[in-house]
Amino acid sequence: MFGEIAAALWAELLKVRRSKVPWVTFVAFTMAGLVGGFFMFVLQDPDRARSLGLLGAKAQFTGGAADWAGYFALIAQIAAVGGLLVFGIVIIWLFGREFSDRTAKDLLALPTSRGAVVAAKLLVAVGWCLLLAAQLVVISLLFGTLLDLPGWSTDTALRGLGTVLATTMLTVALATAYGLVASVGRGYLVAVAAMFASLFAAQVIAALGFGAWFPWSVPSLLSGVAGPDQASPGAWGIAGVAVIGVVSSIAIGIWWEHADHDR
Amino acid sequence: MSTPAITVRGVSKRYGQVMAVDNVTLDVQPGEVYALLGLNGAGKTTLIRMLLGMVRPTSGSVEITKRRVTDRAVWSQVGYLVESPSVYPELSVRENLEVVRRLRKVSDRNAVDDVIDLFGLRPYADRRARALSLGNEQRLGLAKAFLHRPSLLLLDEPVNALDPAGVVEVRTMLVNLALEQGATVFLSSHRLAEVARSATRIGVLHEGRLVDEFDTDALASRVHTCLEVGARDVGRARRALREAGFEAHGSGGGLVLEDERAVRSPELVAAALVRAGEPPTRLAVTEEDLETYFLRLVSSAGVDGREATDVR
Repeated sequence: MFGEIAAALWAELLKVRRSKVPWVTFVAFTMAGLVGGFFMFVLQDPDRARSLGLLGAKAQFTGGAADWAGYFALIAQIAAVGGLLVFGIVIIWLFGREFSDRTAKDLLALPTSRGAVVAAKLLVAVGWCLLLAAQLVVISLLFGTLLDLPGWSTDTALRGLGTVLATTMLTVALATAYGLVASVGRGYLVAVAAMFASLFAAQVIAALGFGAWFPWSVPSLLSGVAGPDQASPGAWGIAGVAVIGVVSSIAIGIWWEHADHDR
Repeated sequence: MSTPAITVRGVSKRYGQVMAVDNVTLDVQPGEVYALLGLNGAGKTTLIRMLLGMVRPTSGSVEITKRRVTDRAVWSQVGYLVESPSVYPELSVRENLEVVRRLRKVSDRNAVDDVIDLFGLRPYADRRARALSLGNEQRLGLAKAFLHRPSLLLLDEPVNALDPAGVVEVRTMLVNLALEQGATVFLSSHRLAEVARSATRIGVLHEGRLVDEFDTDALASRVHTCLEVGARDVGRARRALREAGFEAHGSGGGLVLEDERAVRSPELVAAALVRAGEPPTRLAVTEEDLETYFLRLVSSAGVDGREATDVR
């Protein structure tokens, strides 16, 4: 099985390397990092922000104080909201492209199992999303250093990075559901629609105060994007996200193994 | 008797109200080139997908070398091309084949180059697949199916999109594969004239049912032959032939005789006409072309497919 996953992994990585999609996600997260840095720049000097007439009020709302703790919170928020979109695109592309390019049928009757192909795609998705989160963190650390933000300590950094990592992992877990939709829907379209619908629902439900019970709201709650008045998602909320990730991953495997592949 | 390469027993596939494949039973022996012939929508692709374990039969069983298609070990010996070829457009021809080599666990690293040469893809080896012509994409699809030198090839419309030279090339390759390497080829097509040149056995699928099955050698005895007769006075010629015991039909353009005695001995027809003072202006034994035979077969099957196996 390990050899099969290794072969499938090699194939997936080659497809990723030759595609433009990684560059699109790289640019998207670079932009997100730059916007985060700009928010901090604005927050550092409110008078300058007012004179610029840009984003001052909004930056106050999303980021809070212009220090390292506030900056890490902002990065986690970007990973939660931007991540659901970008990680979703990553997973939808990995699965949906096989149907849009009609290559799925060439993966179904091979000595390498369908389960190994699905596992390789999920591994690539997790690795890809973690790399994007790392890229966001590196860009942000550079900006924070350039801006000479106050409040740096090892404890603040570890807590902040821990929140970013946890938010990223939760978001990736939720995005696996789009891989299932892309497989069952045999292409990009339904999965992209599902992604936007869940993103919209997550914001509305969190704003209504029920976010802890809706898995797609949980990363936002954890990162604090829903506002300081919102409760932390708690263990049940996080467990719900984990269940979505595990069940979606298994369901993708079952679907590839047992569905009628008649298109 | 050797183990059949393919065993299909009472296989049906229903999609809602539509019976895509209806109670098909067939065997394909090792070394055969079996052509499944049918119009578009006859159920050929569904049957091939069931052979490949991509679609589960509603009823019946499918086996490859006496093993269920759910047994993954089967696939190391099977190469396939289903419907139109599909490629990763951003990968080069070589990379597309390298992906297949790894997923098929082929240890011979030269396998990719060998198959590139075999299918004449060398000039395009490092070109991205999206830049390939339709014909070369078809070659790449066949190269993917053939890379691991399978003992069973399942090919859905393998010569679609190929130019005449490509059609001959693929036909020659398939026949050689069967003759020289003992490989079994199961292919689908809607072109009888083409498959008649390469297949050793033909099955005709119509509206999901296998309405006829025969050795290609027997094809000649199945197509209609008739004797066409030209005459200056067609009515007088018809009367003369009737008096001589021949039933002719036709009108101003000439007469057609379908009975076996006339077809086998046209000189008897000519003699009868000469005796009646109406010598023939034209006398020709003609054979129904394969397309006409196929259409006649499926049209009678369309009325009642259960009786169609009696069509000759």
